[in-house]
Amino acid sequence: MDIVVASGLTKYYGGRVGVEDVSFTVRRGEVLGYLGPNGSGKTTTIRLMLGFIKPSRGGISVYGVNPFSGEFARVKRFIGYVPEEFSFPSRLRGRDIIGYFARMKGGAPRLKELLEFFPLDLDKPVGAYSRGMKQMLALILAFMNDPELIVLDEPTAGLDPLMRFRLLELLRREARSGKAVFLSSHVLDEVERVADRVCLIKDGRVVLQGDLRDIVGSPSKMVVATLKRTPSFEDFQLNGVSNLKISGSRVEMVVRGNYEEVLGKLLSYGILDLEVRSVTLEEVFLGFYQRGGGA
Amino acid sequence: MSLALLEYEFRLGRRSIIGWGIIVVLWVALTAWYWSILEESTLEELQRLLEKSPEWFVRFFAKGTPLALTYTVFYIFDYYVLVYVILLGAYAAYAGAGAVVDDVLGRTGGLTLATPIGRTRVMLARLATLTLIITMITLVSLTTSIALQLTLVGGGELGWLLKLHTIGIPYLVACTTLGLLVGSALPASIAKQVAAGLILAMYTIETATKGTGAEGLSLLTITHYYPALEIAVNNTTPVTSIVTLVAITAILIAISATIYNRKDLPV
Repeated sequence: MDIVVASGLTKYYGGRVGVEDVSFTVRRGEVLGYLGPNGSGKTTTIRLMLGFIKPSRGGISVYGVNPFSGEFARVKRFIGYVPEEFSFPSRLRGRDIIGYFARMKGGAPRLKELLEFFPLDLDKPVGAYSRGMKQMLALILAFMNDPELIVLDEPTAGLDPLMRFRLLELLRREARSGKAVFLSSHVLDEVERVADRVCLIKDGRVVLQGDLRDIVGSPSKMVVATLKRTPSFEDFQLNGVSNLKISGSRVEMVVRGNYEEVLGKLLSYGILDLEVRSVTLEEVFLGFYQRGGGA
Repeated sequence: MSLALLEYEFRLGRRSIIGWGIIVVLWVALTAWYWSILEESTLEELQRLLEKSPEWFVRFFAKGTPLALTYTVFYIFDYYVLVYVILLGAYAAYAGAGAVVDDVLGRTGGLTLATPIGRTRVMLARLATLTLIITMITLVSLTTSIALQLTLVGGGELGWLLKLHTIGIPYLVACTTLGLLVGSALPASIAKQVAAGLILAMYTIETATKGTGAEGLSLLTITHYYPALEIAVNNTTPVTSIVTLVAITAILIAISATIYNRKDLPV
C-alpha cells in the first residue's frame, strides 16, 4: 500500500528550483532511501510531504490527504519526523521535552523500549547534551508514539558508530513490522544497508529510482585492472563503457554489455591484475553526480 | 495537546517575564524615588519647564492634554508612556511576530509543526502564552507601582493605577496580534523589527496628528485606543476604546490565522 504518493511535485522558491516534476511513492513495509547531495531538493521534498510548504505544481498526498490542508493535522498523529536541523530549549531537561511532546503527540507507548535503544540521561538539561545526544532525543521523539510513517532527514548526523548501527537496525525492524520509512541521506553506505528502494535526486529532479537490488545488481559491472603498459584514454572509450578513469597503468570503468571488446583492449595492454564486481550504490551515485550520467 | 504546547511555550518564554520584571521594577522605583525627593521649588520649576516645553514634546508624552504636574502625570511621563506603552508595546508586537517567524529563522519549528496540532492552534497557543506573560509583567508593574506609591510617595488614590494596568492588558494583546499579522504577512527576516517599529510609528502618528487636520489618521493606530493619560488623570473608563481593542484583536487574529495557514514555513 502506498502511504506517500508524489506526482509531478514541483516547488519553486522565486525563480530558483526547489524540486521539479518529482514523482515517487513510499510503501508500507519498506525503507525508501532518498539520496542527493546538499541542495539537491531532499529537504524541500520533506517540507512538502509534511505540509510546511505548498507545491507550485503537482501534488503529494500522505494517507490520501493533501499535507497542506487543514485535515492533515490528524494525519500527523501517524508520522514521526526528525528534521535535519533542530534545536531544543537548553534549559529544559530531556525528560521535560519528552513529557511535553508525548502529550502533544497523544502518547509515548514506545518510550521505554527506545530508551534502551538510545540511552540518555533524561535528568540533564538539554544544553548539556552533545550533538549526538540531541540527535538521540530527536529520534526518541519521532518514534515514541509508534508512528506508521517515519520521515528522517539525515538522521545519523552526530551519532557515534554504535548508535548509527542501532538506528539502522531499528529502521530495518520498523520496515519489517509494516511501517513505511522515508530516509533522506547522503551517507550512501547507510542507505545501501537499509533501503529497499532508492530515489536519486539531482538539482531538484529525480534522476533514478527503483529497487536497490536492481540498481546495484544491474548488468553493469565495475572493472578495475592494472595493466603492463599505460593505456590511452581513447582506446577505452567504447560502447557500454562509462565512468572511465585512468591513472597511470590502472584503469577503472563501468561496463555494461560489450565485455568482449573491453576484454580484448585490456589484453592488448597485458593484464597484471583484474577485478570485476557489481557496482556499489556509491558508484551509481557518483556516476550521476560527478559525471552527469548513470553507472 | 494544545495545553501541552501552551505549557511548553510558556517554559520557553518565561525568561522574558524576569527580564521585563527587572526593567519595570527598576524604572518604577526610580520614578517614585525621584518624585519623593523633589522639593516644592523644584516642582514649580518643572511645571514652568513643562509649560514652556515645545509643543511636540507635550504632544508626544501627553497627547496635548494640559497638565498640572502631579505624581500621576510624572508617573505617566517618566514610566508609563515610555516603558509600558511604547517599549512593552513594541516588545509585544516583536514577540507576536516572533511567534510566527522564529520557527523559520531558527529552524526550530519542525518538531512542533510536525505534531498533530494544526497551525491555527499553534498560533493561538503562542498568543495565549504571550498574553500570560504580558499579564504577569503587568502584575509586577502594578504591584511595584502601588507599593512604591505607598512607601515613597505617601499613599493617595490608587484606583487609577489599577485601571491603567487592567486596560493595559488588552492594549498589549492587540499589539501582540499586530505582530502576528506582520509575522504572517512579511518575510521572516524583517517581520519582528517591522512589528516593533509599527508601534512606535503608530504612537508618533497619533501624537503628531493630534489637533491637526490629519487627526483622523490616529483612528488607524492601536495606541489611540489606549488613552493612558486620560485614564490616569480623569480616572475615566474608556469603554469604547476597550471594546475597539478587543475587536481589533479578534480581527487581527482572524486575518493572521488565515494568512499563517497558507504561508510557506520552510522550517
